[in-house]
Amino acid sequence: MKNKILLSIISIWIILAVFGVAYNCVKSVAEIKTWAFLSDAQKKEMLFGDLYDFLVFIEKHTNKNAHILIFSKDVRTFYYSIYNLYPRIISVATNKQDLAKSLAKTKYDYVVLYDQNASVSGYKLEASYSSKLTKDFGGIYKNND
Amino acid sequence: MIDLFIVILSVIFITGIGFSVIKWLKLLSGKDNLLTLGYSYGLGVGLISFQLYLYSRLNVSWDKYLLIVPWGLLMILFAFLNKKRFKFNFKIPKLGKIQYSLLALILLAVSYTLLEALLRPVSVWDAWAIWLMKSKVFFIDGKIMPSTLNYVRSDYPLVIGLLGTFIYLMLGKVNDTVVLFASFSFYLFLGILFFGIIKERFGITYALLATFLLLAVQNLIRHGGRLEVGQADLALGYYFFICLSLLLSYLKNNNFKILILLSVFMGITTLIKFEGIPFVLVLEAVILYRIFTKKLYQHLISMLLWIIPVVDWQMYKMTNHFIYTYFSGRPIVVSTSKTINAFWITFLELINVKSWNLLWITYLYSLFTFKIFRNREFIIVNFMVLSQLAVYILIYILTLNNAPESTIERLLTHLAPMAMLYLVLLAAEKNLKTKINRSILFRHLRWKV
Repeated sequence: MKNKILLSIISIWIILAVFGVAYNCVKSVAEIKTWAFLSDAQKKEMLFGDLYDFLVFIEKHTNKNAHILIFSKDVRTFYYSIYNLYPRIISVATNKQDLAKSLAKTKYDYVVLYDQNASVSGYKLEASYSSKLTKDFGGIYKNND
Repeated sequence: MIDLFIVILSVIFITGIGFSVIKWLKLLSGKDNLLTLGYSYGLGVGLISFQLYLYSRLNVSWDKYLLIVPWGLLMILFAFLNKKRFKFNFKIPKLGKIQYSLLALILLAVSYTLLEALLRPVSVWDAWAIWLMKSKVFFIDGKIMPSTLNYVRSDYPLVIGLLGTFIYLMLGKVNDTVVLFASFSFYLFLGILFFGIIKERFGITYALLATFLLLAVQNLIRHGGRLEVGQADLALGYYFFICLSLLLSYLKNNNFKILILLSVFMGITTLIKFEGIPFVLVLEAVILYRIFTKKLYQHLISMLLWIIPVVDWQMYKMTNHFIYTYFSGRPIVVSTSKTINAFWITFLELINVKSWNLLWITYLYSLFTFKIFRNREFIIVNFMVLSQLAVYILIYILTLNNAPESTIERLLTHLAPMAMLYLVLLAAEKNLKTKINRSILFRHLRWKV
């Protein structure tokens, strides 16, 4: 009896696996239609939304070895910035107190605000960003020194 | 397209390194080429990572040619010394209808997994925040710098990161889409190895069926090529499976060369993810038990092969004052609700048919229904699976910020190939392969085992 049950489970498993392959084949065709004809940048925009666009914007307006403070409430911004913007050194502030503390302690090459409004004395606006698709906005402020 | 071609060549090269070393040192004598190939990618990945790590420690440049030439010479030397003995004779056996059908299903599964791996850039958080992050920063820095490791806030071991770095060095640039072919390769070589092991013992049809069931598990497909690709979990599952298969081999014949290879793989396994350490410790306990009961004291020296890399990595972290460690972000806190949650979520994932098909349900059924301690292989395989699962649940219970909801499916990926091996052994022992042959499902297909 135990063996018969085991055999039945394995038989159902095999049937499900065959259906799974069929399902995955159909799904892959749909995935190809969605992704295959996009550029690398378009794919990253689809995956990471405005954040990717914004990081490309930062990359364009900052030096390669700059030390940048990013003020953003989204924790993903920090890790994704480190990944995308290396060798730029990224620090992050997630609230206004953090931002004030960091600015008092360290002289950054740039301060970047993403979806946040704040005053950053000692830095002047280098470039502004506004998303084409959403309400996201941002600004890059360069150290006056 | 050229990038992809270079990455494929790099993976072939890495596999070639592993293959040459295994064959040259006769570490798997008596095993066929397909089975050796299954182990080769894993060994090659460990060796090129060690090479990059060593070069960095000795301040040797990561110049492409300085990396390739030593291995190239080794492969040429191996081919020259073995030109009479070694033949690339992968014999293609004569297959029946059902065997062709199973092969076609396997190839379909592998094909769409590969296709999807290359369709998108890396997208899952851990892949870019940990593994490919290291690949990228090491590539840009041209070496491993402790300050950079502190900067990226990770003290995870380096093998997977360095594999990506090796690919980038071969490409000469960062390409976070084609690099995923190296992750897909773990899925592919797991399939080859699994097939090779089952075929050696139970014949080709049973091996094809078991391999198909393994490779069609949705979670392995996700880690091999869908949105989870680029993480280290499937790689760890592959290395766990390698270690277990070599352990079973060693326990069968006490072969010292198998133990040497196993120890090398144990060293690599500990340097894939932290989860490799408890696994290797349990494995070593089994080996030590065998060594002492059989009085094989000269085998004790093999331990150095995995202990040295582990100790070296721990010393490296200590001497370079790593700030962000695994436990620094996960303080120890125990609570009843956390304990219940750990068991409950793990159970829910085990019965999640969407992710695992019936793998874990069959495994649980067999655990509670059959005598799992009847033979030595059953004991060893289940001991390795269950002890590791117990470690994961314990970590959920003991540490904070470790939610089983978001991680248990990844952790079970480590154990799935071993659980599958147990089910294959059990089904073979129960002679179910013959019964499946006679069942309604295959009656009309005239499946000959």
